[in-house]
Amino acid sequence: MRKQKSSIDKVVKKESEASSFKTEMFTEAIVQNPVLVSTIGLCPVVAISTTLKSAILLSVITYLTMIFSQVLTASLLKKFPQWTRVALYTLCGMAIVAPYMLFMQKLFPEDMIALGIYLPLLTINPLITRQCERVAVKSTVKHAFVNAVSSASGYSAVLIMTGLVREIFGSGKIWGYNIFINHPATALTNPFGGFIIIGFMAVALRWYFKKIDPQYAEELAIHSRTSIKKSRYNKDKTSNEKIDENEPQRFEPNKEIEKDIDKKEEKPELEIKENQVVDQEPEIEKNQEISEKVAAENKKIEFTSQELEELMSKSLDDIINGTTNENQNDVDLGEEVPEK
Amino acid sequence: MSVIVQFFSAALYIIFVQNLVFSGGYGSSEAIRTAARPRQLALFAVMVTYFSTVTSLLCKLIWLIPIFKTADATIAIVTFTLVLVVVYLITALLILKTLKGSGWKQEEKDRLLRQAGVSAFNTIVFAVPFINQRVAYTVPEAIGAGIGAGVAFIIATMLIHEGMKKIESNNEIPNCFKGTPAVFMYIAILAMAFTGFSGKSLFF
Repeated sequence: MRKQKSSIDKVVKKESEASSFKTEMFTEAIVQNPVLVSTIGLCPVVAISTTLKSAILLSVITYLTMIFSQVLTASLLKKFPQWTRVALYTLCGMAIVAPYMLFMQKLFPEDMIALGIYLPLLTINPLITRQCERVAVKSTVKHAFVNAVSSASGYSAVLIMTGLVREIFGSGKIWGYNIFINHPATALTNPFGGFIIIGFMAVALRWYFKKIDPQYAEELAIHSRTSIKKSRYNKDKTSNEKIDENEPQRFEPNKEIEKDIDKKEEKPELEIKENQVVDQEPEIEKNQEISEKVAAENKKIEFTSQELEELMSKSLDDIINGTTNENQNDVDLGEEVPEK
Repeated sequence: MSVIVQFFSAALYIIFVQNLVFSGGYGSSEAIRTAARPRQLALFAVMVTYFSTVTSLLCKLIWLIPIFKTADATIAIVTFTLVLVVVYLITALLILKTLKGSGWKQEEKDRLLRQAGVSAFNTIVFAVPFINQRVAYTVPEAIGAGIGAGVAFIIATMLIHEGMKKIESNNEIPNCFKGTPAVFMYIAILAMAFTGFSGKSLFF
C-alpha cells in the first residue's frame, strides 16, 4: 500500500528547489537532525560533551569543519571520483582540527586535556561525509554553505544541550560555577549518561513532530533509520503500524466516500441505456420522483418579478433589521467584531 | 609465549572490559546503522577489523621511530590521519584492480568502495592508534587492540540488532519512544553494563 507522503517530506523536496535559509535550517537542523533523527556523529555527543564549555568548543570546530569541507567540495571536489573524495574529506577535517588543537593548547590547555583523544577524532566526522556527498557535491557553493551552517547548527544544538544538562545534573555546575546540587549524578558524565540524555531529547523532538505533523512522527516511529522493518527478520510484521485514534490526524478525503459519490454520478448514465429499460423500470421511476422533488425545491427559491421589485424598493437597513430580528439566533458571526 | 599473552590480553581488554562502542561511544553511530541493516554486518565488520588492525600496527611502527617519540598531539593527528588515508587508498585501489575483469557491475563496485570508505573513516578505527599511543601498547598489543576493536564492534552491533528486534515487535512502547529514542535508551543500558565491567563507579 502506497503511503501518502507527509507535508514535511514535501517541504524537504521544495527546499532543494528553492533553498531559502529558513527552510534549509528547519529541514537540516530539526526535521533531519543529524543526531536525534539520523543518528550520525554520536561519539562526540555522548563521550565529550560533558560540560557546556567543551560542548561550545566542539560546536565551533564542527561549524569550521562543516563549512570548510562543504564549500571546498562544492567548489573543487565535484570532479573527483566518490571513493577518493571520502579520503579528501578526512584531510579537510585534519586541516581544521590540527591548527585548532594548537590554538587550544595555548588558550585552553586544561580543556584540551579534558577532551583527551576525542578532539583528534573530530577529524573523522561522518556528518561531514554524509552532507558533502548528499548535498555539496550536487549543489552550488552558496547552497553548500547554507546547508553546512544549518546542519552544523542542528548538531551543535544537541551538543550544547547535552553538555548543559550533563554539567548541571552530573557535576552540579554551570560553566564551572557551583550551583547548589548536593548529590550530582556523576554517572551522567559517562557515555551511557549521554545516550540517556539524547534518548530523551529524541523523545522531545518526536513529541514536537507529533504536534506539527502527526504523520511524520508516525513514520519516524515505524520507518526510522534504526528501524529493522525491512530486514529479513521482520518482513511480515505490520502490527506496529497502528495509529492512535485519539491523536489529531491530518485531513484526508475519505476514499470510500469518494467512491460512493463516483458511483452515484455514474448511475444515471447506466440507467438510460435502451436495452436495460425493462429491467430498471422501478429505478427509473425513483429517479423521476427525485428529479421532481428537486425541481419543486428549486421553485421555492425562485422569485417572481413583483417580489424582486418589492425587495429592491426596501432600504438596506430594513432588510438587515428584518432578518436580524427574525433569525437572530441563526446568525453566524464568525470572527469577533473588535470593540471601538 | 609472552607475545601471545600480550596480544590476547589487549584484545580481550578492548572487547569486554572496555568495549569501545559502549564504554567510549566510538563508532556508535555506525554500529546503530549497521545493526539496522544486518545483511551488511559481515562485510562491514570484516572491513572495520581490517582497517583498525592495519592502521593500529602501522601507526605503532611509525611511532617507534625516534623522531616521533617526542612529538606532540598535533603531529600525532597528522601522522595517524595520513596513515589511515594511505591505507584506505591502497585498499580501494586493490579492490578496483581485483574487480576489474571479474564481471561485477559498476554499481556493485561503487557500493563496495562506499562500504570500504565508511568502515575506514570511522571513529572506532581512528581511535585505536590514539589508545595505543596513550596506553603505550607494544606491537603485539597494538595488533590485539586493532583486532579487538573490530570484534568489539561486531559484538556491539549484534547486541544492538537483537535489541532493535525486540523494540520493533513491542507494541507497549509509547509512540514517542519508538524507533531511535528507544534504541538510544537500550544502548545506554548496555553501555552502563559494560562501564560496570571496567570498574568505574556508576552513580554518585
